[in-house]
Amino acid sequence: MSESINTAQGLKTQLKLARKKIRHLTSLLEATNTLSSTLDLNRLLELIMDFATKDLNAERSTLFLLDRKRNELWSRIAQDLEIREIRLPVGTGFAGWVAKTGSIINIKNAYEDPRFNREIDKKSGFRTQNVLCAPIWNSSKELIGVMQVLNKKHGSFTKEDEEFLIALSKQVSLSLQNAILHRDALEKKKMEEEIKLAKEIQASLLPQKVDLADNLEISTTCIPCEAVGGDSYDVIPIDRTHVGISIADVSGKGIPAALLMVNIQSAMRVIAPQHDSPSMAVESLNKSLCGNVPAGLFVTLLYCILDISKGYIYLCNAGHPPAIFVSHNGKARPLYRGGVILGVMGDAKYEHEKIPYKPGDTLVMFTDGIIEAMKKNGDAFGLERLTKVIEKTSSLCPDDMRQAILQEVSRFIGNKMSFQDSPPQDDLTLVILKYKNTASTDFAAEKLTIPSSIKEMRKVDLKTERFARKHGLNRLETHRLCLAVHEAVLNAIIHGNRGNPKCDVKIIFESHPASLRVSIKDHGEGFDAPSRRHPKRSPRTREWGLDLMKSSMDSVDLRKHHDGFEVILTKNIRRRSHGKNRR
Amino acid sequence: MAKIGVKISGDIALVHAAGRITLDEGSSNLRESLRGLIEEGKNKIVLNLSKVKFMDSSGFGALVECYTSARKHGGDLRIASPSFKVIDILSLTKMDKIIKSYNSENEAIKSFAK
Repeated sequence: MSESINTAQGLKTQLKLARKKIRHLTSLLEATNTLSSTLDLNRLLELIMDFATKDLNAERSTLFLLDRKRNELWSRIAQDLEIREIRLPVGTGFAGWVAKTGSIINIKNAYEDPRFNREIDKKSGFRTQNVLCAPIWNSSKELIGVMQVLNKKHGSFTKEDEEFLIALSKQVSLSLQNAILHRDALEKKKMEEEIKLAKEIQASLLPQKVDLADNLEISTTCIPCEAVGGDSYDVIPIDRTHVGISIADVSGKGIPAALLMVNIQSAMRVIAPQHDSPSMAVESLNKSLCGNVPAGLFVTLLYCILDISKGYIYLCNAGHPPAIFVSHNGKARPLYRGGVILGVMGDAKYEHEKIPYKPGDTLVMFTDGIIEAMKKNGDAFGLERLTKVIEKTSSLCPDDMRQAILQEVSRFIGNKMSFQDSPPQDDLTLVILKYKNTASTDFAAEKLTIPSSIKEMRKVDLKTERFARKHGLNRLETHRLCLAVHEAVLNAIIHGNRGNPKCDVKIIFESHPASLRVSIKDHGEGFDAPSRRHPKRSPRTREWGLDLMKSSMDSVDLRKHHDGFEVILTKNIRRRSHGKNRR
Repeated sequence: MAKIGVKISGDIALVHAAGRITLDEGSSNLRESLRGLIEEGKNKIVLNLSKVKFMDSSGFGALVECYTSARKHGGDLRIASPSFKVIDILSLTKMDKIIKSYNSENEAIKSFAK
């Protein structure tokens, strides 16, 4: 009899336990469903703590997250109190101990436990009695937080409560990780949007389309290495016949440099119109900057005033890499005259240089990002290499020159993409100013115009050979020039003019101090897509043409004009002994 | 004007090309002659280019086309005593690594016996 009573009692207890388990499981399921419904971290913390408090029949719960950088636990919510952030070092208090050891604790009387931090109760006015505290792990078994439940309403926390808290902590882990990632992504996006806006503001401060006098052409580019940069240029009209052009570089990159740059640019716009001497303008700018430049930052600047009516450039260099002046005969010269960097010495004196400016002359201004562009092995592009590229391309229009220089820099550092697609290591700025050539025959030039017939080829070859010999090319180089010109003219006849004998091909042979240049111009739209335009033509017959031009010349520039297409072949002149000039 | 001469010696076709091998003059002649030989099954070709005055992409294209075709038919096209302009164009196009050249006609002919 007593046995059956015992059995009945046992069954009753088991039933009670089973019911409790079912309640916990139902609650867990509910928790899982609710938790996956939000990505808002604050809301999620609230939900989790509500669940824990309710299901464990406790007075209060706190979910701490681990701040790995500071090795602290933090929580933004304590229920029934206002929302505020609590922080405690890993290792102190119950939660800190759980974070340190990774084990669950179930304390019946908090005040008897040496790990208890009474300070918290003192501050909050809450009296902690018993504590259940469990770690939360992420999927890679790293601790991400701690759940702490306080004061069971009747008695103390049981073994089942422990199991429930462990199960709940597993359930919340994934939701927490998602919410944390989501929060980080939002913060990053917000930052990116702000930087994007800053970049737009900065770009809008640079003059985009500059129209100078009819005989002046300008081409500019400014590519920041970070979203915003410390480089800038400006074109400031002074009066009807004078225009100021500046290029500047603030040491440092990113937002601080960009802010200082904007400051300088606005100062310069006020100062420039008041001076017809660039050195006076720079002195005045320097004075206004001193005391305003944060320690550790400094500014270098080139400022030139162009006298359009008289044909002079006045240029002042304040600690900046030199401007490069290329005269119409292709000779380049660096311009250094000026003074020290800006913003350091308030009473610094500056001087400027006066350069006559003639048709065909080019002025190139740049920032150190160009000459300091580095290969992986640490070799820099350098002033010498830049000067060579400028000399080689000085007969091109400024836009083409700019492209050629950027391409050369990009190729040098081993970039596969253009700088527009992959940002440079340092800000890159380039301003090219050219006094247009009224005629392209200022050099020692010879012309040959032929109708579009391949019967003319022998004449072309003969003329090229004579030109090459006359200017000292040896047998091998003569052959290569002949080959390149021959191929370019064939392309012009067949693809450019489509064999129409009424369309002519103009060939101009130019001799420059360091190079021979041959320009071949037709009336077509270019031969970069011959397969599209000549679908029936066997590619085998023509595909070697451009290859041969490129491999036999130092440069092959393709230029589209409104009335046709031009190929410019350049052969650098090397004076070496006969037969030793294999490339 | 380009001159193309063909001589058959055993299973080897000996072709002499001289003058301008260019689109305006000799490249199509060279292409036709070489194609003809390959069609007749004479695909072991020695091409003597010692007297070539100028070769452009078209002439070079013909040479490469026939080299490929001869190889495809189980033969080969080998160059004998190329002029310096031919050597240069082979080196500019890097085809000197692919098409075999010999200093003399005899060497080129003998190479087929190996």
